[in-house]
Amino acid sequence: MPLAIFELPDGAEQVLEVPDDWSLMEAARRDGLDGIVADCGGGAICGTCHVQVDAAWHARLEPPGMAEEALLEVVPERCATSRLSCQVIMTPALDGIRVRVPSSQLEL
Amino acid sequence: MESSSRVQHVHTAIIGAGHAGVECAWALRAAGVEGDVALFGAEAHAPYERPPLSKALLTGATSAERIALRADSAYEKSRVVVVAGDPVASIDTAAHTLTTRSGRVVGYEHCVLATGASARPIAEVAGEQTYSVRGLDDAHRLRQALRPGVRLLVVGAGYLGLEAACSARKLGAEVVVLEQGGNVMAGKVSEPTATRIGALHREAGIEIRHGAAVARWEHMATGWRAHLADGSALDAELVLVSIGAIAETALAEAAGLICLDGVVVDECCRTSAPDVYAIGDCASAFRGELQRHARIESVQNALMQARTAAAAIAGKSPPAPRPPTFWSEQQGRRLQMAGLVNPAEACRDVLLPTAKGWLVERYQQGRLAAIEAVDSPVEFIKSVPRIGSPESAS
Repeated sequence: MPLAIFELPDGAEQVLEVPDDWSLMEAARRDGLDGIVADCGGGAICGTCHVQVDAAWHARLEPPGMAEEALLEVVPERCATSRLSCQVIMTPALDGIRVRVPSSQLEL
Repeated sequence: MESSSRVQHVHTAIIGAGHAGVECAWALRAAGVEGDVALFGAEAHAPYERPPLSKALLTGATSAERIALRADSAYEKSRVVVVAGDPVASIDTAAHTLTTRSGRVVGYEHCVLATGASARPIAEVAGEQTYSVRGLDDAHRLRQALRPGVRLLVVGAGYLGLEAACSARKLGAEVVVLEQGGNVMAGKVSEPTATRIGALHREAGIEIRHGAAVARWEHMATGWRAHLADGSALDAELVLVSIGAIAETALAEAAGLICLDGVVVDECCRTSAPDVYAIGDCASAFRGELQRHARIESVQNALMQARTAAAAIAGKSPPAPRPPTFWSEQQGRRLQMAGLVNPAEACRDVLLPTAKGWLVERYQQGRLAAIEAVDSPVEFIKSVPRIGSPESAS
């Protein structure tokens, strides 16, 4: 099964198995990862599953939709490679993707 | 689960394995609680998310597996013991013990009630061809009955009824929604939003009847006949009852806890019994906005109260209070609401168009009491922090 590596704000890493066609958020929630809140359950409306994607991996992702792009303008700790993890869908090509969880999401 | 049979004494017993209960278990671990945590669920299923039951799960766009809140391995890793299908039957708050239906007695240091709410029933409408959507089994049962051309009568035009109506229509059902009040989502959203969303449902082929009170229900060979107060009648093969929810307080009441439309709790989610907390849909906390205790049915509120109770148990400071938020999805439009409107006071609604939808600012007594956003998540996020601020400043 493809893997995704989540870097937590304290520097720890957690490697998650993500079934093909699942979002990174779904996998993070299933494993109870701190900081991926996903209040809205994956609808790209709440902005609480924000991750900063490693730059090399970010370039390989499908571009964000309009709703996600707009939300990425207002989430805390946004950066050039920010994405909503509910919109990053696992494919074999993304096996090994590396993302960072913003520390502000631990406070939600 | 095998390990659950050995549970005899736990640090924290969480009764109810929905969003609130599961979050509380994780929040306890995040707060550094090392002791045993047991999660008692009434259903045989592993804990799952409820919002998709009326939406993507009902249409088949998602599956039971994908709405599970955690993987089995995650419970093991966090040392949270899930006891499924053996619900708690009683609590002895003096002895700090609980007893399950099978007779198992478990001692606790702390107990968290997260029992949720059940569908408010209509006494005459029960049995075959009648449905509610509160649990996974309910949703699966309704899904099996929905097919193109089947006629579904939805009683109650709240969030749940309208979401289920959309899903049923997508599956080809003929849908009629009965609402006693004058508009959809009455008392929950502003008049402009209700009118616009109501129009979208009608455009999608859903019939909505306002001011429709059912005088009598008749069970027919082919389904149900609703005799309306105005003398007309409506036939349907299936009836979905979605007229709100009732807090599950039987366990708390039997244990002597103070309940009043929910288990009454303080700002730390403590009930009237020592070391017993209540969170989520079953809990009624004081709401300054309403100047009374009230239950809030929302995932975000359930998560907040779960973290609040966990912080109190762990001796940590609670998360900063935030206005409650709600969301719904209807006819492909996404509604987000934040804040509470006091129905006893006048409300002034300001409708603001956005690129894809609209925003409604709801003012009471010169302050921004609540906001609604339809397909406008950015405007929503920007507006939520303004809730409570004076009108002139916003």
